[in-house]
Amino acid sequence: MGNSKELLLIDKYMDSVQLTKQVNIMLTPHFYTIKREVIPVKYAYQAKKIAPSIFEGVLEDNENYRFMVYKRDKEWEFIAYNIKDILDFLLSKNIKPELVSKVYFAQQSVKLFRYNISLNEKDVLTVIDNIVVVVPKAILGDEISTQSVNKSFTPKNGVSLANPNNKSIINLFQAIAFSVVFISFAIIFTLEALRYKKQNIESQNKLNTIFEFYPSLKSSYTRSSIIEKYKTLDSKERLKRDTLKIISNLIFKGVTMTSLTLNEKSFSVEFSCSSLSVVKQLKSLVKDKKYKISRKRGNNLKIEGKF
Amino acid sequence: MNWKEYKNELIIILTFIVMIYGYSYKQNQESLQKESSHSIKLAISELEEVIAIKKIWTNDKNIERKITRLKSTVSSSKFRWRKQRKKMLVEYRALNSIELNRVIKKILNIPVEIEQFNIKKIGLLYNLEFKCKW
Repeated sequence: MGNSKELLLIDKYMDSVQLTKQVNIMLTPHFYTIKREVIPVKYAYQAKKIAPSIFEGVLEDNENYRFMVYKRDKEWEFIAYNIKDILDFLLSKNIKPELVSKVYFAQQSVKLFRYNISLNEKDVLTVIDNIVVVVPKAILGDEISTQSVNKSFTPKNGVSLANPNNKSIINLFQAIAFSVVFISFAIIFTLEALRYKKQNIESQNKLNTIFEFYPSLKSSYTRSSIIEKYKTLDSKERLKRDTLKIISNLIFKGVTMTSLTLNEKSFSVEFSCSSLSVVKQLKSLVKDKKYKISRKRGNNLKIEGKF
Repeated sequence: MNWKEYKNELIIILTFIVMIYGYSYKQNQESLQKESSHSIKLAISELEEVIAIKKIWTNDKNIERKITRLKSTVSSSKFRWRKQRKKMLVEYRALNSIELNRVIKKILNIPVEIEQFNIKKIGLLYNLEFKCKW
């Protein structure tokens, strides 16, 4: 039962000790209060929740009290202990809390008490009605059989002094579990970020390779201004050529082009028509364009426009 | 408050902060990559546009070749040709309608800036004056 460390019995009247390695300690009833109850709960955590009410009126109203609960036969045993008092006592006996591995209570090993355990000259630990108690040796008479506490008395479960004021609502296992999840996500996110960064660099390198062939086009401003310049030129020249095509489409039977003048800003074309109806037809063909149409002598038509 | 009392919560909070930092770093890189991808696409499309435009309007070799072909459109007695660097003036005389159409068709397909384009009908024939630059 328990673990392999030495088990030190802690008694109120003990002498100071010098410890060089970690030990387990077993507290005598000086340091705790015990109550036994039959309550209709199935699990220890349920019983622990109602432990403060079990000790109501018995303990000082002190936030330093902690509780340990376990089932023995059909009853629940509730042990209340004042962590601060225990720590203060241990320090007074030169026992550093960091050298205390686990804390047990004598009551936990009640079944191992075949004989009394002598604490000091005056007191013994004995069992009365299945409760470990401290009694004066005198009331037990002169000849009493005793045994000593050793490792074999170490119970299965104890409490820890490592974080006596621990107000954590999360235990270490849960903290580690959450941390592992969060760290895993952090790693995944970081790897994703590095992947995006790499893609970025690769795209930039591709672009730089292209710019090696066209170094003058590296600047976006240069590219935009070239595009702007040639787009303007392109649209102007297309307009001139489209105008010439429109003019050529106006030449049909009865229409003769007599002159055409086209420059960068405007154009002017003169047609000689064979009849009035041809003039009208010609006029209707250019009706929807924004051209200036003027009738010349006879059946001649002049069409002008600006670019 | 003694931080040791809440050591477990602190561990969780710290690792949570690390995760949040990792997430925001990822988001940041992702948005940088999107921006960069967009700028690169834009740059490439501008480059393509510039290269295509320059191919038409600044391909001097091609332009010169097409301009030279104008000489072979009609017989050499019918035109007068003046070329100076990137400017040209050509005057056609006494073109019939077929020749006129042929010349006009060739002129319209040369990627040059038309400065002057004049046609005058004299009797049944046409004179054409064409001035351009590139």
